[in-house]
Amino acid sequence: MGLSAPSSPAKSDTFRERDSLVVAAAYAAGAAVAAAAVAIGVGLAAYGWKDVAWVLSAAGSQSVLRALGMTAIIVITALPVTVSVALFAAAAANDTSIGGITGPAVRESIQWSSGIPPVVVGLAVFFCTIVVRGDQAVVAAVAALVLLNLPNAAARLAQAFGTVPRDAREAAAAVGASPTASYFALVQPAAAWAVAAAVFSLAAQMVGETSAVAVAVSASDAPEPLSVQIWHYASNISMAGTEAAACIVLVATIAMLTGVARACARRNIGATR
Amino acid sequence: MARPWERLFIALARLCAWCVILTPFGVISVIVIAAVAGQQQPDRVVFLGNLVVELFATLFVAIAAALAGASIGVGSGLLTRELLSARAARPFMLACDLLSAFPAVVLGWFGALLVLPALAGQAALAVFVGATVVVTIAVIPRSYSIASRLLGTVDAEVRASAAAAGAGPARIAAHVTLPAVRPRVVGIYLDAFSRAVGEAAAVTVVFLAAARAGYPVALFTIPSTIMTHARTAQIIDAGIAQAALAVLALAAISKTVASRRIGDVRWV
Repeated sequence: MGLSAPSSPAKSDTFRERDSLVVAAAYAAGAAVAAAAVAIGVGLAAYGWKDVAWVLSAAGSQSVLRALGMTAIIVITALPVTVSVALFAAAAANDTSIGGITGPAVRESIQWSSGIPPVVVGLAVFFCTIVVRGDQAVVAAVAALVLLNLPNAAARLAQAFGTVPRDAREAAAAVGASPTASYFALVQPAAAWAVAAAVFSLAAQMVGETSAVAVAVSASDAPEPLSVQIWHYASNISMAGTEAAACIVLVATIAMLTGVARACARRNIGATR
Repeated sequence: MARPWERLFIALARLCAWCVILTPFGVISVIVIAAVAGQQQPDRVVFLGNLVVELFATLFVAIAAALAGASIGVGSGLLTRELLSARAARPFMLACDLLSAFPAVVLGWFGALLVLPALAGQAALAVFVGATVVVTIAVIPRSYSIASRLLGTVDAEVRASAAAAGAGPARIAAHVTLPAVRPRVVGIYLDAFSRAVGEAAAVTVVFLAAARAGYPVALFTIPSTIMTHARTAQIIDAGIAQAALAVLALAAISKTVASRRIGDVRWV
């Protein structure tokens, strides 16, 4: 009597069902994203393409160029303030020799503070504006953007510094470089492109921010930034064409800043490879 | 002994770190003071009734949008990272990039002009479905971004082992990659909820357009109530501040849990 190979009935592939389900769900999700992007893009182009030149040259309270100028003033003022504070905070968060106990505290704080809804930040600024009886729209908008984006900027910049390999920092420490010298001579130059990417994507976020700025500048009658101006008139269907054109200008500005941020991020990947 | 400029730099870094830590507390303090000592105190019974109804509306929109948006984001991440070749995935990645370039106000315009008329019947539910659609679109890019990075944290060796055992991309995605990141995927849903619960600009545009078009809009979400309030009433309304605290608590708690769940990839 010899050994015989165990005979087993041909098993059905029980995994296949789940495979098919996951693949179908993933394709459906991809199709949904593509459909949404195409629908919004086509909708904007169909309604607003013809009016882009007109809204850029039109004068008056709905002038897109004037609103874009207001956006530029607000972002150009808010961005350096946010980035400078966040750069130092990120340095503290990135290296406990620099930050001491504030390093872990910043990281812990960012976990929840980046979740504060923009409209709540705007409301806080709005209340402060009413208390001080201020009507400076630019100051209120800048305050709202700085308060809203500080945790986010610190997180992005800390991550940018984190792209510098730990080995390089340890090697610098081993040859006697102080944490500060290591930060300026090694971390900052190595993470320059990542920092630039973070700054440009922060600028894109600031340009598109609506709710915080809209609520913060409510106490003032001054000209509104572009996103707030669009929000003001977007619910009026009779102005669909001009609002779509204004939306195209806003999206183009954000896409340009995001594109530059991505280019910087790609250069950073190339530099740290 | 550190040199003076080094000591100055360290002091500045710690000062700015404290700024980042304390700024959110400053925002919360202002809202709490307004909630306690606002110029206009609401009638408690009426206010609580309104708050509960608005909170229900806010949660309806946020939960539905977070579930749909995060699922679509995770699914798209799986499609572009696991199932398709780099070349085939490019159009889908481009679509996600394009969606991330649309600010909330543009999504609101889209909802008011194209989504709302497409929903049949002038019922209040249609307005909420319209609002949910725009918030879902607002949530997708971030969920996609986090999901892609989460999937990227799975070791290439694990995939290589599965492939060596004869598994194709679909089987690797369904039985190797997804299970590996499943506990952290829950964090994506919570993150999406924290984003959705505070969405104001897009939702307000949809609600206002619906009201103009004759839909029965008797109820707003809390963030959209805050936005419209600031436009119409130039006073410190304690009721609005209290409602803002409710949204703030929901968003901050879900964000904290999401960050803990997702882990370090959130910083990326």
